[in-house]
Amino acid sequence: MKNYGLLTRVMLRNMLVSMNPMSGNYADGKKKRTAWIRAILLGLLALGALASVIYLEYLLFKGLRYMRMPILLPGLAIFVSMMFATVMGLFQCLSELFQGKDAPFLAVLPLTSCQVFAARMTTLYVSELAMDALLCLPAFVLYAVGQGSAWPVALTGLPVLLFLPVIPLSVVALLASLLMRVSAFSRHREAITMFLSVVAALAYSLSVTMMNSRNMDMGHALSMLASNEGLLNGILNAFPPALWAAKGLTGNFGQLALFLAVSLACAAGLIWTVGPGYLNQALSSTENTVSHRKSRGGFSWRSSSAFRALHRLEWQEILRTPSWAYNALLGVVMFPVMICIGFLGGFSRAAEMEGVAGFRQLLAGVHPGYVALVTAGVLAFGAMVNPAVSTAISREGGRWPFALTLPVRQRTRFLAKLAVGMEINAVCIILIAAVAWFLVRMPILWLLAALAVAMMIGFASAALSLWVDGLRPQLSWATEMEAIKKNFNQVIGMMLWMVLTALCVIPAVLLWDRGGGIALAGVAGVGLLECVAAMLLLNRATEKNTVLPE
Amino acid sequence: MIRFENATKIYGKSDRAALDHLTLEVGDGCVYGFLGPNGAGKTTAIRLLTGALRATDGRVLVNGVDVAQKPVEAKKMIGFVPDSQEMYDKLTGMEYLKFMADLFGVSEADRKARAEKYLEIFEMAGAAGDRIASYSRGMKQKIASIGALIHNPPVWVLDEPMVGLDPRAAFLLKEEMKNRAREGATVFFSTHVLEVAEKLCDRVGIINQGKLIMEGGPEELVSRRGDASLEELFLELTEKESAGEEGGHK
Repeated sequence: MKNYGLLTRVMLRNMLVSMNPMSGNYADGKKKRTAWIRAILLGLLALGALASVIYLEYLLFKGLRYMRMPILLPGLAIFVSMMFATVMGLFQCLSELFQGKDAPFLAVLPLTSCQVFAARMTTLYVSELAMDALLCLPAFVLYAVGQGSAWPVALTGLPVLLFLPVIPLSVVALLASLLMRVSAFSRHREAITMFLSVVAALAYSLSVTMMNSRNMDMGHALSMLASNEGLLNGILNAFPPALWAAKGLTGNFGQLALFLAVSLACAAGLIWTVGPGYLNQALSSTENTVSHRKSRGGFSWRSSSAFRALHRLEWQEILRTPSWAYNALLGVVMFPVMICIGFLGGFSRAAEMEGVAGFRQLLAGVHPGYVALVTAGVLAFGAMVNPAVSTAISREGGRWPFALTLPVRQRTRFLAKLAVGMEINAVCIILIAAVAWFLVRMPILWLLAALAVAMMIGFASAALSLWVDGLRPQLSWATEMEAIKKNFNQVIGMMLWMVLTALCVIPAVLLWDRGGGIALAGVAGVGLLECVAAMLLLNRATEKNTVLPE
Repeated sequence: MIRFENATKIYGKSDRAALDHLTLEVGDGCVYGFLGPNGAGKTTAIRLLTGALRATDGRVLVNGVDVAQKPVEAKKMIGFVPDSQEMYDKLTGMEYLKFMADLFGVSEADRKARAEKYLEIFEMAGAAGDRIASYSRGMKQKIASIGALIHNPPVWVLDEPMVGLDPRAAFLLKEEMKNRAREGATVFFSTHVLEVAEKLCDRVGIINQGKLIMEGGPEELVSRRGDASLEELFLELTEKESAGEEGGHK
C-alpha cells in the first residue's frame, strides 16, 4: 500500500509538471517571459472554457426549468461525461496503460504488478475526474441552487461526482487489456489494436444512439412527460449507471448506494482481474517482434521524389505509432463518424425520416447560398483540431537534429507535413459534408462551394499551426503521448482556427442582406486571403528556420 | 574535402563559445579522428559541418561548397551517422534505406546494389525486413551507417560511431572507414576511444572547451610531446585546459 502511494504520487506529480507551462529551467529571461505569456494564455483559455460551459448550462437550465424538467440538466451532464469517458477513455487507457516507455523501468522496482496498475489507473482517474468536474459541477450547482436544495444536493452530488469516472474507466480498461491480449498474437499488433478499438468505440456509440432512438416512441414520450423520474428513465436508460447516479443525486439513496457499490465492485474487480498480469502485458507490448526473415523479395526499390518520401514517412510514423494515430487521426475522424452514427441511428425510423423531409421542405424556401454559408461554417469545425500539423515538428523530437542534416529544402519538409495534415482534414470535412448533404440535400454545386470554403479555412489554420510549431517546436519529450499532450502549440493551433473562422464571419455578416451567394463569395474571398497570408508566413519561416532552435 | 574556416558557435546569449575559431582542413582519402572530452565541442562542430546548426562566425566548406550558403548541395555530399539512437524506428531497415535513397536521389539500380552490398558487409541482411525499433543499439548504428553510404558520399561523417558496437561490428565499421578513405572519400569522425583513433586515423585533432588544441598524425603528436601514447597526451592536454573549469556546453 505504501509503495502504491509513493508511485501514485510520483506519477501524479509527473502529470501535473508536464501540464504546467511554467515548468522548466528558464535561465534566459526572454524564454521565461514567453513561458509566462503561455501560462497566462492557457489560464485565460481554461477560464474561457469554464465560463462558456457555465453560461451554456445556465441557458439550458433556464429552458428546462420553464419546461418543468430541471433534473434533465444534471442527468444529461452525467450521461455525456460517462459517454465521453467510455469512448475517449478507451484510447486513453490503451496509450497510458500499454504504450508508456517506462514499463521496463517499473518492472525492476520492488513493486507488484497490482500496485503499478492501480497507480496508473489512479492517474487516469484523476485526469478523467477533472474533465467530469468541468462539465458536471456547474450543472449540479445550478440544479441545487435552482431547486433551493443546496445541502441535500451537495451531500449526494459529491460522491456521485467522485465516483463518476470509475465504472466507465473500469470497463474500458478491461476492454483495453482484452484488446492487447487479442492483438498480441499478431506481428501487426498496433494496427490490429487500433482497428479493434475504433470498432469497439463505434459499436458502443451506435448502440447507445440506437437505444436512445428506440426509447423515443410515443409510450416513452408520455411517461417522460408525466414525471421527472420517467424523464430520467427515458433519456439515461442507455447507460444504467448514469441513471443510478442521476437518481442518487436527486435524493434516491437506494440508487445512490447501488451506484457507489457497483463502482467499487468494478474498481476492485478490475484490479483483481487485470492487475496481476498487467506488468507482463505492458512489458510485452513494449517488445518488438522480430521475424529475421529475408523479406527483400517483394520489396520495391523504385525511386520517388524527396517530397513523396517525406510524405510517406509522415504517414508511416503516424499510422505505426499508436499514441500519434489516436491523437492525430482518431480525434479528427471520430467526430464526423459519430455525427454519421447519430444520424443513422436517429433516422432509422419513418417518423424521423418525416422530420428530415420537413426540415428539407423548410430549407427549400431559403436561398441555397445561405444554406451553403451555414453548411460551410459547420464543415469548418472539421478542421478545428488537427494535431497532425500542429505538432508535426515537435513529434520529430530527438530526431530533428538528424533530419536537418538530410539534403532537403525545409520548404519541402514542411509541405510534406502540411499535405498529411490537409489529407486528414479533407477526410473529416468530406465526411461531414456527406452527412450535411443527406440532411439538407442542397444543390451539389453549392455544397462544393461550402466544402471549398471550409477547406480554405482548414488549410490556412493548418499552415499557421505548422508555422507556429516550426518556430517553437517542443522537441524535448520522453514519451510519444507527451509529445502531443504536453504541446501547447496544439492549443495555439485551435485558437488560430477560431480567429480565422471569426474573420470569415465578418463578410458573412456584412454581406448577408445582399444575398446568400454574395455573402458566400465574400467569405470565400477572405478564406483565400487567409490561405495566401498563411502560406507566405510559412514560406518565410521555412527560409529562416533551417537549423536547430537554440 | 572538409574545411572549417574560423568556425565559431555561441549558443544564445552565452558568454562562452561552444566552438572557438576552429580552423581545420581534412583532405580526400583521409580518416580524421576528432577527439575531446564530453562537452568539448565535437558534436557542435559536426552539427555545423552537417548543416544542423549555423556558425555564429566563420564558415564550413564541403568540397568547396559553403554549408550555410548552399546547405542542400553541401548535405548531398555528406553521409552522416548520428550518435543518438533517435531514428525513424517505426520503419523497417529496408524502408529506411529506401527513404534515404529517395532523399539523396539515388537511382533504382544503384540503391538496390548498394543496399545489398552493405547489408551483407554489415551482416544485416537477415534483419532488414524488421522494424528498426526492434534492433539493438549496434544494429541501429549499422543501419544508420548503411543509410549514410547508400548515396556513395564523398564525405562520411560519424558522430561517436563505436559506442554500443560489439567487437565484430566495430571491426567491420573500421574496415569500411578505411575502405572509403582508400577509395578517395573523406572520413571524419568523433570518438572517445583513443585506441581506435590511434590505430585507424591518418590524422587526429584534439579539441577542448571549443578550441582545437593540437592536430596532426597520431604518431607525430605523440612524438612531438614525448608522451608514451595518445591516451597519455590526451589526458595531459585536456587536464591542463580544463583545470578549474567545467565543460558542459554543447
